[in-house]
Amino acid sequence: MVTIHNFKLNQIGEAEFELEKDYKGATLRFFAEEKLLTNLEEEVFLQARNVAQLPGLVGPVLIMPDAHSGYGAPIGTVFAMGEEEGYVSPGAVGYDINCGMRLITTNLFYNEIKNQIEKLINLLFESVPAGVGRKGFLKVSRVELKKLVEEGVSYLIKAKGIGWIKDLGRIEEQGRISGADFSYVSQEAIERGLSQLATLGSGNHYLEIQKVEKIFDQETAEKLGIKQINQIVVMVHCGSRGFGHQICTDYLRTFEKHLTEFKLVLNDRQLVCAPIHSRFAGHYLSAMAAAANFAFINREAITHQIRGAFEKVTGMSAEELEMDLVYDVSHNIAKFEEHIIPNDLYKNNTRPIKRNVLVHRKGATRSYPNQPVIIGGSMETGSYLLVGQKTAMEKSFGSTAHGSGRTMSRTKAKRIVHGQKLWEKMRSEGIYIKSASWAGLAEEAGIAYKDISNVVGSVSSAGLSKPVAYFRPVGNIKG
Amino acid sequence: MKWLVRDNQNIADILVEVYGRKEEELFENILAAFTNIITEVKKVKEEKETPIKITGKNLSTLILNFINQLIYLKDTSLLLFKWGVFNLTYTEKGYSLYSLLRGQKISKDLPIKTDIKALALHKFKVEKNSKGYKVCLVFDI
Repeated sequence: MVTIHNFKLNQIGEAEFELEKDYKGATLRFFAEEKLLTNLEEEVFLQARNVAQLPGLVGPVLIMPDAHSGYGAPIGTVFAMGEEEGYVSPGAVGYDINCGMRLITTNLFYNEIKNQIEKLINLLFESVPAGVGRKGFLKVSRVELKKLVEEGVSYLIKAKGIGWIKDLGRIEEQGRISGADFSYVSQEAIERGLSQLATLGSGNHYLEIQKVEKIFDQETAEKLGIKQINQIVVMVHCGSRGFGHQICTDYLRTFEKHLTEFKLVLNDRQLVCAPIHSRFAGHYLSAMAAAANFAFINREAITHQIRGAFEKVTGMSAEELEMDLVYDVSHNIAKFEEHIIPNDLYKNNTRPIKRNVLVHRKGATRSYPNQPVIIGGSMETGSYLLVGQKTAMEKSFGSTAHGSGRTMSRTKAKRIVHGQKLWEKMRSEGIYIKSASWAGLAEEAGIAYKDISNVVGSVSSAGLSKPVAYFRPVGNIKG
Repeated sequence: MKWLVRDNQNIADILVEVYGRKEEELFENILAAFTNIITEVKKVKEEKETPIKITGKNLSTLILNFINQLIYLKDTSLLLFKWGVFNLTYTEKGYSLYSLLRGQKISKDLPIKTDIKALALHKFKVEKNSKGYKVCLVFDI
């Protein structure tokens, strides 16, 4: 047994711990190596325990190794709600609905373009707006936005000529979460979305040119388009921008107004939820799907700009450069999925039970067997490509980690890291950064994050996903 | 003290305590704290006037609606405000806030520190004591 912040945990497997049950609610399980677990903030345990006390949960509440405190639920939380008796919680999906990762290959090698990285990054910084107040290249009417968010990426490709048809098969849900209904999206969300479509945003969002540093599984890597060391790839991390944030804000407020009607007593207002079969939940899920599709479209439009920039700099077409999508995966979402509920934890049943459940993933990635998983690290340390494992279906509702996870507040990072000095240091290490602000750069310094290799080690040891390749950044755009 | 950033409270985002002797002053300080998280409030020019009217059934709701409006104006009209004149009225139906906000459009000459994307309900709290008001705000940035 280990005790952390007065919370007692029993080790139940490799990189798997369970909180001692001295509270009423679902079992709480942590996937983390002991050194990551012992460094979790107390707030993570408190927030996780609040989540475990939500009504309608099926099976355990799971905390990923990159967890850190959020609002309501920690970042790095996965849980499932019973389709009949469960609730949907917008706060446990997160403000940035379908914030996610995308990885694009090239057939270029670092030595071939190392002298052009700066030019590429500067060009990308112009064509993919980052930071506050910059508008995207994709101007659409309200009518077109409705079509886009209801029909997803395929509409963007067919109607606007942006993106490749073959991309669709390499996006979670083929770039369209079904059930999106624009009529449940507020005017405020629509207007925020119209002004921010095809933009990267700020905070921890980035566009990064990387080189393949290590390949752990050559066969799988090749299948996914990662062929050799020093191959150039591009990674994108962003979400649904103000569109998704406004939808989350709107529905938190709506749900809160009806809390007494749902007869709920919650430990944190941010965890406000509504019964899945209530009209409020239905409206939220329709609006959430619209925001999720907005995010898929946003990343596809950004990919279009990335392909364009590479074409301009190299003089070759994106097709010739084999700028194919490896995968696009969400890490803030709620989706109906069929799962075998971990049998030892569900209402004392000993036989596995298959159920349709609403899986909430907040700061967690879907990790179905052989599905590519992208875990983005800090701009100093690099990122990983993994694939999902069968064990994840048994242990974590097919889920894994999403990033390296913060260990330091943004304010503290800004106090101890000087943005311009960090920029110079990274440049001397061969990483060229273009950032909308020095402060924004300082907030995202590597020291503000956990060691990503420990996160990947944890999910690998726990059998949730298996590392395929490791990438090192050579150029980065930050908001 | 007008506001205080608590940097050890929220790892990924920002927690700010804002104070005001009166309700109007509380809104004035919320506006300044909001703008100062995004940029340096003293560098914002008073080039544009924007009248707003916000309602809420109580002070908490009014504050949530006010901040939501600031986020909306920033994202859609690219406006940031240096200060405002606030007039608060209360009827049986609740609070109404009339305000004339003064500020500018986001431009290249305004140093941007970060973005505010949402106000969380997590830890949101309005307190009143003999000295006035205190509100705890966690911003998603």
